[in-house]
Amino acid sequence: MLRKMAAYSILLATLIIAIMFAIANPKFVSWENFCTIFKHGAILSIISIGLTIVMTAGEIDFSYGGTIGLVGALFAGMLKKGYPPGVTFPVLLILSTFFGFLNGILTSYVKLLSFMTTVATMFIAMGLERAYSSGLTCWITNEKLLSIVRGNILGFPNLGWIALIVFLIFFAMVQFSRVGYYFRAIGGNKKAAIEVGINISRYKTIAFMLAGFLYGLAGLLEPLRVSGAIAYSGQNYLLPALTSVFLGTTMFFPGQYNIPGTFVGAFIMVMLMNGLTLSGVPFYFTPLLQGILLVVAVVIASDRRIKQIKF
Amino acid sequence: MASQTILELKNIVKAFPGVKALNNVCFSLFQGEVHALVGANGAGKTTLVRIITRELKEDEGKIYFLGKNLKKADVKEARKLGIGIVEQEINLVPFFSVAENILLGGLSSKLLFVEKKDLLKKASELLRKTGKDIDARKKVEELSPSEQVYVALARALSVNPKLLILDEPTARMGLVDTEILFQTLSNLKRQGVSIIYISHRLEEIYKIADRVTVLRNGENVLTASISEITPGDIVKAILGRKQEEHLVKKQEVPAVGKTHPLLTVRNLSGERFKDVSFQLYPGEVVGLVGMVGAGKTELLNAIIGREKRLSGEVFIEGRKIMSPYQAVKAGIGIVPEDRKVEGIVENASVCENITLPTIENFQRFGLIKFTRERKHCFKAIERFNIQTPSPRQKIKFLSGGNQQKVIVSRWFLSNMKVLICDEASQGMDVGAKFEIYNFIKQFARNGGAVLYSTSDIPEALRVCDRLLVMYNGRIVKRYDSLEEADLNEIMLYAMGGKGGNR
Repeated sequence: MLRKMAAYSILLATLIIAIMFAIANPKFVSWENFCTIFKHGAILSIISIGLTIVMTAGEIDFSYGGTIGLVGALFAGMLKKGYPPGVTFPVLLILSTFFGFLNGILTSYVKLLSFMTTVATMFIAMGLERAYSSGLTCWITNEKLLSIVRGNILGFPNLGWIALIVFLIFFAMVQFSRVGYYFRAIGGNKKAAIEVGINISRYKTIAFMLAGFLYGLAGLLEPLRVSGAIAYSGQNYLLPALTSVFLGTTMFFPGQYNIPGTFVGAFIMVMLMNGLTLSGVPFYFTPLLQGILLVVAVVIASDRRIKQIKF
Repeated sequence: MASQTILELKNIVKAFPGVKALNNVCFSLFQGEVHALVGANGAGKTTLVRIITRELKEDEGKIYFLGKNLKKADVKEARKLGIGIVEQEINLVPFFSVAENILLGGLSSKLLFVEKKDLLKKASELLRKTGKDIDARKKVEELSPSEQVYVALARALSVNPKLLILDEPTARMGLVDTEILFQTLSNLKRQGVSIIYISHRLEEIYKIADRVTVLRNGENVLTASISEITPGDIVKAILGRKQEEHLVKKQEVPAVGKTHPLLTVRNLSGERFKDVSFQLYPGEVVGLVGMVGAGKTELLNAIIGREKRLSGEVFIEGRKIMSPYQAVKAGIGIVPEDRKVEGIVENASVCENITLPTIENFQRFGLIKFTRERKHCFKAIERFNIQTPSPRQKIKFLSGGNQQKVIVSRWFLSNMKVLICDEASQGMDVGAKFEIYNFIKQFARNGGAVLYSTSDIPEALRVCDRLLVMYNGRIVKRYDSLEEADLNEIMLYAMGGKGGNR
């Protein structure tokens, strides 16, 4: 009983904080603000879902810190040069999936630590971005694309719809499909997975590639959300995505990395930041608060015997 | 008895760098028989089993299963052909349900989704075959260790095995569960399944096995029908010629002061051992002997306060020991079983490894006085005959024997009073072994006390002054002097063939 309560302490705390925000600023509980939170949280939730897949399979992935920015910069640049979105979208998704493939090969076959590997690929992607954009912001002027991403359907932001669809697909995959079982088996007990004949190198690589695909999707959406590719936009997601995943381990499947937990975790993060802004807390407190949140989440998670990842 | 041969190994040779694990081993298995496989530590049992499951490939020799040559087969194919195994170390995914764990290797899915209902049905069926009542929906992490063995058994049964290998399945089981397992095994046998059963427990072997094969130093030294052989014969085969070797020369009687014990263990119980009491007096080397899985390592860890104790107390000269830190402070030195994991700091130098626990003696104002440290290291290297080009050499480049000497040497010149050794000479060559024995004896003669834990009984006879024999978590026999100790008798006790009431 006590354990169950501890598991949902994050949700409970969120509720209390939300009520406090609502008292501080009544605007906090409005449909508009709800939509804003979804708009801001959509991309974070997509990245975090990608990261969760890799962590479910017993590895860690930081490459999104670089690939998101790289994909964004290339996307804005290609649009400017006149390539149609029908070309840029698939090409860049393939590129980011390839980064995942690279991570997978290096960790599963060359047997490097995923921690070091993905930090390296993050910087490689970042370096490529810098070489391409020279650190300048490249604005997007394609009004049609912008309006699609910024639009609403049934009064709910399209970005929110996209995030929901991604969530449903990958939740079903990780929780109910054979591939998902394999990911979780590998993360849960590698030796058991090997004993029953699962090709763990292959499935780890697949996990990295799925993650890479999602980072790519995030990389495409991010510049459309803010009307342009701002330099190194991936870095801003490093900490929040990691925090979302660990917040997620306190919910739904306590003690395990899980997609629904991550999804809710991402929106809790954004809601907290949004509430703080509405309450007049300066923006530069954000990383500090996120860092504290990460520690709190990890403390709760480690109490639930998460020992899947060794740093 | 059906006598159709289903598995045939001919002249199998397997070498690892530095050791010949299997030498010309022939082994055959009839349909529907339970074949016990016994042997001392490192006799080659695990290697043999791994070759049968195709986890390892033989260097030479032939292996046929159901008339099929397995030379090119891999683990997956062996599973498909019907070779199932319950390994000694049970590997399951903790947060998966029992059903998911059992069928993980052969998940069937429909429209990309794994069929949960089907999963539950199949798993329950397999569980029923194991004879143990376990809810297939339960998570594995909620199960007891003994129930987990049954889950692993159900998983092995999911491949429809014609050959089932069990590697010490009862090591973590209680009496009732063991009984259920034996019932299940005889049912499987009746259905024509052949079983290879690895165990150190003679009573179990006599209860269920039809034949027994003894491996010693990688060779098959005995295969016999269980009804035609006595426990004494089996023990003799396991030990081999070593019997004569051990005939201990009358040792100098140590000056043991029996009045003030250095180490007192009182009614210590843990998860894997029960109600252990003994005392160590200055001047003596006490052997703690027993087969792998008897609970020795767990007991030692509990003594130094590293493993959970259920009850009981440990004292060093009247000081109560609760944690490894207190243990070392009070004067316990530890030579652990797995030196790679627990003993040495691989990337540190020989010198740093020597002074690891005593570094406080070499510092002033928080800084280490390297010249003094170095001098001390030279002394240790000389005294313990450690073969190293220099104290600055990284320890990982030393041979196993020399690494072990470093570990032993580090405790000398500290205030150590009690040395606890767990399989201290494992994987060492004869020369290095003898050097270690000598250090240990010398240390005791100078007023220390040694608890020497080993599964190598002849070795214990060579080193120790008295013996505690452990079987299944209990001390089943004490030898206060080794004069009338008989090697075969000790082995019988250690394998539960005598006085082994649980």
